[in-house]
Amino acid sequence: MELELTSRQRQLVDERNELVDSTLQKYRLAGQIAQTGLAYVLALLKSPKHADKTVGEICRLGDLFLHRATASAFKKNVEEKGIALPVQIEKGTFASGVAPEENDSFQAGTIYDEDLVKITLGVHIDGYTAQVSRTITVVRPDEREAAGKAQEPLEGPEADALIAAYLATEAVLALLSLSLNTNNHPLIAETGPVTGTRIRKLVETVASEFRTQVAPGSRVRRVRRFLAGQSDAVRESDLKGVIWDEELEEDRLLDEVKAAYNRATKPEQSQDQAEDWEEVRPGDDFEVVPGEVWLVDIRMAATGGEKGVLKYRTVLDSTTATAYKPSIYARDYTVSYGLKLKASKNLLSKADNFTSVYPFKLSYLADDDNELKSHRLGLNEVVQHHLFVPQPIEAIDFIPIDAYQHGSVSAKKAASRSGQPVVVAREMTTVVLIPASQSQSGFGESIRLTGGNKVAPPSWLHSKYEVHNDEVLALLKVPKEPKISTGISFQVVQASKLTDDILSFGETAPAGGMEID
Amino acid sequence: MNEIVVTEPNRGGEGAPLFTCNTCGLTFPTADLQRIHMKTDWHRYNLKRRVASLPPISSEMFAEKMINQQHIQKLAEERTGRGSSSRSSGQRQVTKKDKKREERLLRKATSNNRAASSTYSKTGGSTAAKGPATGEEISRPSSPEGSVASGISSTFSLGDPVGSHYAPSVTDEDSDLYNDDSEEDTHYTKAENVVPVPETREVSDDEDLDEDARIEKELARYKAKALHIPPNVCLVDGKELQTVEENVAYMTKKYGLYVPEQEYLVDLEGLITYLGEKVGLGNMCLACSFQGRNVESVRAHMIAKSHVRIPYETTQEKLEVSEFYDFSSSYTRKSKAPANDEVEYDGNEDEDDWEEVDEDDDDDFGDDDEVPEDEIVDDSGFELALAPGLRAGHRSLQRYYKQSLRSNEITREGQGTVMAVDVRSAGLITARDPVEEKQQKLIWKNTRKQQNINYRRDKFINQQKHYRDELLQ
Repeated sequence: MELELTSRQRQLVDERNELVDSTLQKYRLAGQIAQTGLAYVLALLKSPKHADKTVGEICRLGDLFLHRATASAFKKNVEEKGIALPVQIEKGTFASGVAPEENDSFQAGTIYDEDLVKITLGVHIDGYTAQVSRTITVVRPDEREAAGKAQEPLEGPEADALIAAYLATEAVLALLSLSLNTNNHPLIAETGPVTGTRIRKLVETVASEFRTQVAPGSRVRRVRRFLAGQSDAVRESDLKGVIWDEELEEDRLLDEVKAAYNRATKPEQSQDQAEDWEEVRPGDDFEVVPGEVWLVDIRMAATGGEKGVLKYRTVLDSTTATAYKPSIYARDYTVSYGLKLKASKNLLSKADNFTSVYPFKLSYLADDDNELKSHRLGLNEVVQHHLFVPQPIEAIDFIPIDAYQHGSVSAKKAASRSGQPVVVAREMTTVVLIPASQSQSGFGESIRLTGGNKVAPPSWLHSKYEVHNDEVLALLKVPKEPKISTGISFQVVQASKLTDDILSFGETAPAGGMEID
Repeated sequence: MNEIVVTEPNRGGEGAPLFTCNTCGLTFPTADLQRIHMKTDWHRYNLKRRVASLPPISSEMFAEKMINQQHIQKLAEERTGRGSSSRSSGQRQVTKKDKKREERLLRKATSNNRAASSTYSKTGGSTAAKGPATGEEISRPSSPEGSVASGISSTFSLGDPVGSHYAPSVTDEDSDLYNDDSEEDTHYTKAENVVPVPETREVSDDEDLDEDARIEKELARYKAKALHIPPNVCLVDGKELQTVEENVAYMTKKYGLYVPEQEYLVDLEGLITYLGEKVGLGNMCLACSFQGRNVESVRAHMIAKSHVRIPYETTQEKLEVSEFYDFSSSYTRKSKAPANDEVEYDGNEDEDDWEEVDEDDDDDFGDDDEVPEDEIVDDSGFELALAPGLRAGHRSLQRYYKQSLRSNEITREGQGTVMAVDVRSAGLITARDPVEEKQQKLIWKNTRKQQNINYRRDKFINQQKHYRDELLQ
């Protein structure tokens, strides 16, 4: 879709996204800070010192770390920088939005050994964004030794989901990188260029190999400056990427059910209906072009091989039966409203002045507890008028296909009540694709800004399934092929070293709100 | 004083018409004689005396006065060393009328005969008056004695009640001086008063008498005539005192000068200096629009009319002296403001209803219980400026303040980028190109202009099918 933009807007949307040195430098730095932040959070989870800490406390420590790290970077030339995604740690069946504030009653519990947690965070420098998400099992060797437990691999559907998410991410990264290929790589020469359809098919294949299901919210999308898919508050009109949409997936599944039902009753008629979904999905008819930056965000639900619908559901507090209060908000700049309360006006102006277009927590905007209180007071009005878009604390429910009773619409509602929360594994990474013509080495460069095994080694997992698909297997081998044959050099931005200084600041840091300069 | 002047007995009998001059107390046998009399300077002089409520003087006395006057003028001319050759008789004071006439003539001369005028310029400044005098307009046909006598008459003083040296003992009883003036009081004004101001106008004929030059000329004349009155000198009688304050006290005591709004007066010296300039330089009366010919006349006027006061009633009068005052301290008013942002001042304060305009959202949040120190209503009278930078608007404009106008201002790049691509902002922000917009505006302007031309042309086209006479309707 071609947008009608002024020259100024063109400059913002197009020119600033060209991968020149300064841009790359910012991307690399953002990646490095995100990686270090991830390593820091992982170290906190592992450390016996923080064993009794709640999820909320660790999230805030992570935020504090990211804030300090970004504050010291590009002090002069960059106006907007900071946290692109607040540190979120989801334990068990929580799917998204868990980043409790200090005074919240909901702190998402304490983290124990062997817990399955998703860690998500993001950093941006001047709008150049690096986001990362990793799902791991918490391993505390000291505790295990004390308890006399031997280390065992994680098994079952959860392990399958974790492996599927990991392998799908790696495969998609390899596929995206192959768009840089100039040597006529067999994976491109035989099956054609890297398109949206191909990416979707690849992810679906990996999911089916491990008897899991791709959860809605998964996406493989292009990232531009300030446009990294960081929140729902931004709805890009020229979005380029593969999105697993909740409702579309549900509809597709229902159609499949209907078709199957029809086939069983009237075998001749419904042949074409089922095939409709095999065609190119709207939005998937793009081609990955070198010089772009891509976000790979794969979520795999541990369905254990069953077919069903996955739906996001706001998590309710079991004691009060009300939804947990969201803590992450994003400013929606398309909405404007004259607020009435002074507190809300203050909150809005503070958000406009001190945050960018990225999600934030209220504590980022408050210097002290009093201010935070007044922000909470004003929040209601701001959210009511859609100036802020909250990120609810959600889980994903799995609704078995049988509940839909042959796909009738009236059954939809009844079915939604019969859902059971399911564990979701999430892997997110950002990759910059530099074409050979622009790189100094002469090879195409695939720079992985976040993730990778060195920063966050995968947990010890065991699955009874394995990949049989040839394409997936070939793709997984691509990064290990010599540069000469692929023409692509694979690089991963690594975390800076975590000194004892950094690791210990969690103990000395003030427990209250953090300062914003 | 206006009792019937004694007239000569009717010698002409009942049948003969009686022609009298009430002013001079004369009767004439014929109308012609009477007319001739009316044109004499003697009659004029008596007329002026009558206006000043003085008795007429006899012709002999008038002649005596004339001779004296001529003598004095001659002396003065000798003293100033100015050739009187250009004037046919004693120098007279230049009146406004004369100046106007001279200027008119000069202008005429320069415009009519620019080439010829160059010859005049050689004659020098002193002959400047003579040059135009050759014109036919210089003669005064109204006076049989010619312009000379009438010129003299205009210089006669009718007896200035106060001389150049004001006696410090002038009291209020003297204010009706004119009435007490007997004939012997009517004297020639002292020489130094009568001595005309040095002629500073050196007009050569070739000089372009444009507006500026005339103004400058006028100014120069005023400056030459100006009497500098320092702030410690009494405006009315020129008495020198130690300080400005003493001076003001003196004037207050003696002439009833009242300085208004003294508690807000910040520059007393400036004020008195200004008044001194008004009197000394401008020869203006303090209270009314009277402009005297010189300092003495205006001083006399002020004393006679009790105009030694600073008018302070109308806005204009107040503005005239406003620069010496500072009223900002009077704006301070203590009033208790509620803490809430949407403030409505209660009616029980004798204020109108005010409503706070929330101008800036980003002022520090906190318990804003402080009382606004300075509240200043702006010129329009609909806005109240409060000390912390807030502005309170009048309730009658409530509906406008309540409007939440969308500000399209995009300050940061992140916001700009997001809004550029957002699906929903398509309708909110139209893509604007300043250059294109300018061109479009030009096109609109031209179209409007063309339409206007067409309209104006069509307006004069006769749309009537048939001729209809308006009068026959």
